[in-house]
Amino acid sequence: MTKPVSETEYRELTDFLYHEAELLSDQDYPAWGKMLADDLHYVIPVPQFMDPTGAREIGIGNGYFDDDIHSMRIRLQLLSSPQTTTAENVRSLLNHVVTNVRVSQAGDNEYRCNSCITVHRTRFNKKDPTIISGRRNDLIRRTDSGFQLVSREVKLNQSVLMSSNVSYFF
Amino acid sequence: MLVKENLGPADFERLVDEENATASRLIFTDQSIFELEQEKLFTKAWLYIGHETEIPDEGDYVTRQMATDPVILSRGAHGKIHVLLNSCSHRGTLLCTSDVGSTKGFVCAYHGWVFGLDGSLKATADDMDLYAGKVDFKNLDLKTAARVDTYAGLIFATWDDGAPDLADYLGDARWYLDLFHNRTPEGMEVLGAPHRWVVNTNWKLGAMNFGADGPHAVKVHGPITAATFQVPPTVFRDALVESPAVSMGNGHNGIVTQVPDSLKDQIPPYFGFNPDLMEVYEKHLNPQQNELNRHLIAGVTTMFPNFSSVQGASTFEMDKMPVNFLAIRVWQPVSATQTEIWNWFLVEKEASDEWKQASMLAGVRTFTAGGTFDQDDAEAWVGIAKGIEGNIARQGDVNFQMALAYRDRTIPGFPGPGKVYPSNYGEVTEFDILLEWQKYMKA
Ligand code: FES
Ligand SMILES: [Fe+2]
Repeated sequence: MTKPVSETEYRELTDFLYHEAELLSDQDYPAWGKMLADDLHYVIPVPQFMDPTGAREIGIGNGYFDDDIHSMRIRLQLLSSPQTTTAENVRSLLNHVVTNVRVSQAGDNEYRCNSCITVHRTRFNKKDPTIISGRRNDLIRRTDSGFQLVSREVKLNQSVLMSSNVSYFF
Repeated sequence: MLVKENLGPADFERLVDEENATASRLIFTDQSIFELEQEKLFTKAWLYIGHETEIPDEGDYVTRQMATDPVILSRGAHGKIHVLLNSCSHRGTLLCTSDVGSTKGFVCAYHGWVFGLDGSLKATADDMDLYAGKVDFKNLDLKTAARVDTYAGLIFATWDDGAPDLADYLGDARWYLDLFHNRTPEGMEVLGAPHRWVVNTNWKLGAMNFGADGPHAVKVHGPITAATFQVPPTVFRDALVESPAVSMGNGHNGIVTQVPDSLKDQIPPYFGFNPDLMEVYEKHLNPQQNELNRHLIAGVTTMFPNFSSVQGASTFEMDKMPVNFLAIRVWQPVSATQTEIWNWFLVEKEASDEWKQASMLAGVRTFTAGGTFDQDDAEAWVGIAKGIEGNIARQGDVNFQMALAYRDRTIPGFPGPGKVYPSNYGEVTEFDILLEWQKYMKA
C-alpha cells in the first residue's frame, strides 16, 4: 500500500520535478548537480522484447546508464564546458516534458515519485527532433537545503535508441 | 546517388588509392556502393552473431542481424548452434519476434507453420495432406547460414559455402583475440543484453575507428581521460604515439596501447586487470602474450569486416583502482549513411560477483550510446556523413596519409604475429581495412 501525500506535498514535489526538468533542458548542470543526493543511483535499463512464455535474462544486466554520484559528477563536469565535450559542442536544443506525476510517501523524509518524461532533442546536424520518452521511478528526499534526487530508474520506450548518442539526462 | 552505375573492378581500384593512402568519399555515402557491399562482402565474409554464453542451454535463442538480414541464433539438440534466416519459408513473415528467449521451436504468426531449433519445417498449420503430395517440404526448411563456427566463445557465421574455415579466416588475429577472450580456462561471459543505437553514418567509419584511429583519441577523449585518470594530454599522446599498431592479416587490425617506459615504475603490471586472476592469465596465455597484456593500457581491434572490441580500464573515483571493461560490438550496416551499433560487455567467468559488477560499470560509463567516450565519437562520425554528402564534397578524398610515414616501418622482434607498426598514430592499420574491403569489392 502506498501512503498518500497532502496537496501541499504534491505541489512541492511537482514543482521540484518541473524545476529539475527546466535545468536539464537548459543544461544547467552545476544547478542540477546540487539537486542530487550523495547516495544517488541513476539507472536506465535496456528494454527487451520478450515472449513471456520463454522469457529469460542474460548475465547480471547492464543498463544504458548506471551512475552513482561520482560518475555523475564527472559526466556533469565534462558536459558543462564546450572545451570538454564533443557531443554537446554545439549544444543540443532540449525540451523535457514531465507528465503523469504520482507521488506517495516512502519514508519519513522520502517520497516515491512516478512520472513520464519525454525529451525532444534537436542537433545542429539533425534538425528533425529525436523524441525519446520513458517512465520514471524516482525516490526524492526532503533535506534542509531542499529536495534531492536519491534514485531514478528510467524505463525507455525505445529498445534500439534512435539517436547517435545520449549526452543528456532523463 | 552515384556518378556511374554498374561499378566494376576498375572503379573499385580507383575508389581506394593504396599508393596515395586515400579513399573516395563516395564509399561512405553512395547507396549503390552500399548495395554492392551487401552482395559482395556481407554474403561472403564471416560475420559475428553472438556469444556462446547468450544461448547456454538447448532451446535458447536470441535474434540478431547479419547485415540487413534478420537471423535467429539458437541452440538445438546436443548443444549444436544454428543460425537461421528469421523469415518464414511460406510467405516470408518475420518468424521470431522476441529479442531473447527459450523455446522448443518457432511458430509463424501468420499461418502457423512450425520450425525446429535447427530450422527444419515440422508442420504446416493445415494437414500436410492438403498439399496432395505436390510439394516437397524438404525445400521449405528455413534458410540457414552456410557455415557456423566459434572461436573463444565468439560465434560467427557466413552465407558462403566456399568461405575458408573460421580458423583460417581469423588467422593470426586469433593470437590477439586470445589476449581478450581466451586468457582464462573458463573464458568470458556476457554481462547482459546488447546495447543498440543508431548512428547516421557509414558502418566503415566505426570499423576503421576501432582498427584503430590513434590520432583522434587525444582530441576527442582527452578531457574524459584527464578527468578520470588525471593523465595530462601530453602523456596520453606519448603513450599512443609510442605504442604498436598491428595488421593481423585478412583485414583484421588494431592497436595494443602499452604503458610508456617513462611510467612503468608508477603503473604496476596488469593495470586494470582482475588481480585475483593474474596468476591464471600467466599460466593460460603464452609468455609472448603475457608480455603484451602485462603493460596493456588499451586494446582496440576490428575483425574484418564489422566486429570490433575495446578493452580499457576506468575509474570514476580517484581513490579507487581502475577496473578493466571489455566491450565487443558489431557495426550493422543499415544504409550508406546509417549504422546500428550492437554492443556487449564481457568479463571473465572466473571473476567474483563484485568484480563483474565493477567491470560492468566501467563499461557502461564509457563505451555505449551514453558512454563518456562513445558519445563524443558518434558526433564526429555523423559530422563526416554530413560533411561529405554534398556535390562538391563527395568528389574529394578521405585521408589516411600518416600511413605514408609509417607503412614501411614495421617493428622486428615484436612478441605477436602480423605486421606491427611503431605507432597508434600511423593510420596504416585503419587504412588496411579499406584495402581488404577493396579486395572483396573487386572480386
Ligand atoms: S507466412 Fe509463415 S506460415 Fe504463412
Ligand atoms: Fe574514440
